[in-house]
Amino acid sequence: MLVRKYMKTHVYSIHATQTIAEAARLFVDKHIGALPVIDQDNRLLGIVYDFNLIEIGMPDFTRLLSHFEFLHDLGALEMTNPDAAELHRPVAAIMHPAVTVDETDSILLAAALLHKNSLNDLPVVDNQNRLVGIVSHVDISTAIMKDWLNE
Amino acid sequence: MIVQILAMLLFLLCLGIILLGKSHRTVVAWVGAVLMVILGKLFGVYDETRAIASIDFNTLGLLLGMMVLMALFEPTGFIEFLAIWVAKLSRGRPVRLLVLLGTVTTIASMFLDNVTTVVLIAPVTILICELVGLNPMLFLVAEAVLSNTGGASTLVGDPPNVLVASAAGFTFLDFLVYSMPIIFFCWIAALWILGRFTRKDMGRKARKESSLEALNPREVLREPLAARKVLLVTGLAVLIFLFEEKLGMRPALVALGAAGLGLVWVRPDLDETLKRIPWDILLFFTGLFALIGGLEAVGVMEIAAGWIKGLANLPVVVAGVLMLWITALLSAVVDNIPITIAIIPVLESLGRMGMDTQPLWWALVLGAGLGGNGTIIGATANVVVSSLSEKTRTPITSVYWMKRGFPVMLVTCAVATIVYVIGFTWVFR
Repeated sequence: MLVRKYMKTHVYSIHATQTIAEAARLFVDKHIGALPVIDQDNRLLGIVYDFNLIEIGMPDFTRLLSHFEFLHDLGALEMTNPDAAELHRPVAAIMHPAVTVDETDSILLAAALLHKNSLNDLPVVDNQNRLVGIVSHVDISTAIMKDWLNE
Repeated sequence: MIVQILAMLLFLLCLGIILLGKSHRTVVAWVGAVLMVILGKLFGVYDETRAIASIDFNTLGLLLGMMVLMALFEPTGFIEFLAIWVAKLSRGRPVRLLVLLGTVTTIASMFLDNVTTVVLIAPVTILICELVGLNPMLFLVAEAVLSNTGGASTLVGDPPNVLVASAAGFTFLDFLVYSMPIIFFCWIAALWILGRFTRKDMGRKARKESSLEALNPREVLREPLAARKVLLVTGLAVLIFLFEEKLGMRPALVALGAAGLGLVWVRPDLDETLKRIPWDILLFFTGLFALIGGLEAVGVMEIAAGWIKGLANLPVVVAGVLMLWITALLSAVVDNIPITIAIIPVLESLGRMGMDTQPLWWALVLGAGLGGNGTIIGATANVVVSSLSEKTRTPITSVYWMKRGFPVMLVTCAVATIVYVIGFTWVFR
């Protein structure tokens, strides 16, 4: 069972020089959770997940306290919306190195990588590191379970 | 003579490396101790047996016992509970919030070490400040400063105090009699000046007070039962510390006994508890004792005493004030532990020449404790709060510390000088 068979080949991606605001626009319009960052040759440079953007507006204490379950009502703590300058930085400033799979890798490997890194989506690359697809945890886990049920 | 010079050079080299921060002080003390033993063996004046004999196991036991209690206390959430509780009491008024959080910090740092205290209270302070819409910078500086101040008041509050107690033979009770009253006045002065800064920077008004109402301090207390047990055991230990001389008990037995009782009663995950113990400090002290033992064995102390004979002719209170300010200014620019280590042999030498050094030891405690407030790098607690603040939108800069921390150092040292002079001229004589 190879990743190639289960991946989505129509991938929304963004260029490293585009802005955080443009990334936010894509997340909202396409209702996606991950956005691979590429260069002009379609080579994968990194990835931004939805929570990388959300982080920009998070209160400081969330980075410092290990326990804050007691804050039931965050109403008073409105999120500080990032200002225009923040939103016009390039996505390269907040992207992370991507965990990837090769299109010829096994989907079990993809499942293990997703689980180990607590991710929801994995970009799929070819042997030239060009972006060729993306697989989500739902794509992979349902494929594996279908196999159990002999469907 | 050659061996004395070599031993002295080795000691100064170790001190220099620690001061420059080129290598971890634990590694320096470790390697220094080994080299000292080798040097001593070559000249037949110091060896493994004598090195082990010069390790003060009473001090190590005391430290380890208190560290275990601390490690049991940390995960209970008690400090965070107190912080949220007083934040509600303050109704979001800046000066009131600063005084209350500062009081919690000071009291905690009398029993916990300064770094643990700020590591526990600083993040929840940032939370409180974000909830009520205040800039946390001044609160964080205040907490580091007040933690250093509170730490100077008890034997277990700060590692330099443990070193001084070991060298001068001071008990827990001695610290309560001599150090705590002087620190009390310094603490009032520190709160006063920090309060003025708060009023100047943030005004008197309550901010978004309503956001504090939804908080329930009880939910912050993660392990109420364990917190109660550790507090009881610590209270018992403090009570026994007060009567240790009458009971004929050494501090190590009291602290290790309390820690043992805590472990039996709380039944924590032992691996997790032991991970929270700062082993590097224990190893550092072990190496240091063996290193200084070598200095004493080869007779360096006698030579050093010759150089500073002049000091013995000064009136003791004058020498004390001098000691307080020199230590304070030095520990404003470097960590107070190496400063204390460097001064201990000097005071021991003066003592051997027949000078009454007891007031000087207290001057050392006060200077080492209060001097660290002066700069962003003056004490480990300062470094810790400023590196925490770097993860916020308003990081503390060294310039900011000069504006807000340095005045506190000057005022507290001035108050300490006045109370010290009065105390050692009339009250403690």
